[in-house]
Amino acid sequence: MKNLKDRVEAILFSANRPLSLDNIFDLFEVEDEEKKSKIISALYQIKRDYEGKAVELVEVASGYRFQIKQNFSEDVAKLWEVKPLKLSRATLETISIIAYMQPVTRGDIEEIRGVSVATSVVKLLIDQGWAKIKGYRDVPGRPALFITTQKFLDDFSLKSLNELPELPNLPDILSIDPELSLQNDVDAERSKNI
Amino acid sequence: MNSVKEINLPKVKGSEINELPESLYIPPKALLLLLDVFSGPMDFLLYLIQRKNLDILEVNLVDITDQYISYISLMDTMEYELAGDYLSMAAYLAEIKSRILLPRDQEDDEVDSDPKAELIRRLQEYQRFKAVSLEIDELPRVDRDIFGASAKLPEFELPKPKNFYDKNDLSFALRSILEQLNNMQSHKVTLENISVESKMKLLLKSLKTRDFISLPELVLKGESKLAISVILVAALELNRKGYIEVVQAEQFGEIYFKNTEEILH
Repeated sequence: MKNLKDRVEAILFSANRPLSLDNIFDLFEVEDEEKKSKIISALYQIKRDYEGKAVELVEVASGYRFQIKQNFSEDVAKLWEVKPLKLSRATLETISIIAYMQPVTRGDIEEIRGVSVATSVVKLLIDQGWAKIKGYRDVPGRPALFITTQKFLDDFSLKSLNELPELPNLPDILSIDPELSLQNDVDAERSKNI
Repeated sequence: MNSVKEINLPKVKGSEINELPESLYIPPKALLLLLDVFSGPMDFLLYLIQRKNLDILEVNLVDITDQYISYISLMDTMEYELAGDYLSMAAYLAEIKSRILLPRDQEDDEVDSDPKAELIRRLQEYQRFKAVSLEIDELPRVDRDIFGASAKLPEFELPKPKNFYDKNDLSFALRSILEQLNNMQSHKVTLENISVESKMKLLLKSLKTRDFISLPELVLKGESKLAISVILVAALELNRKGYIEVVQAEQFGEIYFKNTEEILH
């Protein structure tokens, strides 16, 4: 009789992608709640077993995956022939706007960034599987609406969008006294000219 | 933004200048820096403001506009295409500056939205996404900070498919082919000769004795699909010529043919 914990560990190590609880239940054809809870406790046991090792079991948006602990990523990176993808500021800002404001159109992103969204940026985000088109806004031109994907969450080690860093609040618009500041500018300009 | 500071310091009369001059300092190859270092005109504008440790709210737009435009004017000989968004921001700033400097019409004042407040709003909006995008960059990222761990699967020995056939199968296959041949025979297809005219006559004749008649009633026993189609065509033709009317009591109900009113009266 094979140990359930070992069976779960075996499939997680072979999957090469995160496995959700449902994936695991399906694989083992488990339907009753008692067996399901056994699998969940097996996952916790495996997690504990790997404490203090170079490998860890973590939960991300799509499920559980084995990964090398981050302390060793430098060593592992040297094995890779290709350098890890460095994201440009434009790409980071674009994916951030999509993540917090989704669904958004290119126009929405351009409005915030004050610069046109390069096709290469959109292509990169789609190719990486981080963003996708979900529908079209019902306005003239029917622009595509972009949303982030589960792979975006997986690849950025997030379980859900709620785990994104907190977006700083917009300062209260009432605290701006435009009349006064405009006047200051004019005064400053006049005093310079004198 | 750090790379702005990392550029080689210029030398004047042999000694390095390690402080920026009070007035506008424009490093060599300013535009290339601009396009490379800043993610867009908003980012560049933020830099101009924050360089002086100013809060966005305290900024003197007239000064900032002048500085911004001095940078942009360096682009004279460079690629406009790349820098289109910067030019568009320059135009926007110049417009705000002109509105600030020109004496304002008191009446217009109420209606006009304040251009400076609008710009500040946009800068603040951009600033928070810029801040958060840098935090997102810090998240442990797969294939940069995080590497999947997996075990190489053992090589499975898949059983080779065995040859399950024997000579009886051959004779069985031959027999079934021969049986199939028996099933093949030619069919004779005869052409039915039904004319639309004959069916039109039949329909009109039937309507002499009855007020209404339905399509199924017109079909004679054992008639083919072709005949039914011809009857339908005949009915439609009579309807088109105004001899009969087509009536239906309810939706999806039976369709009846009847003589037109004029002929009845």
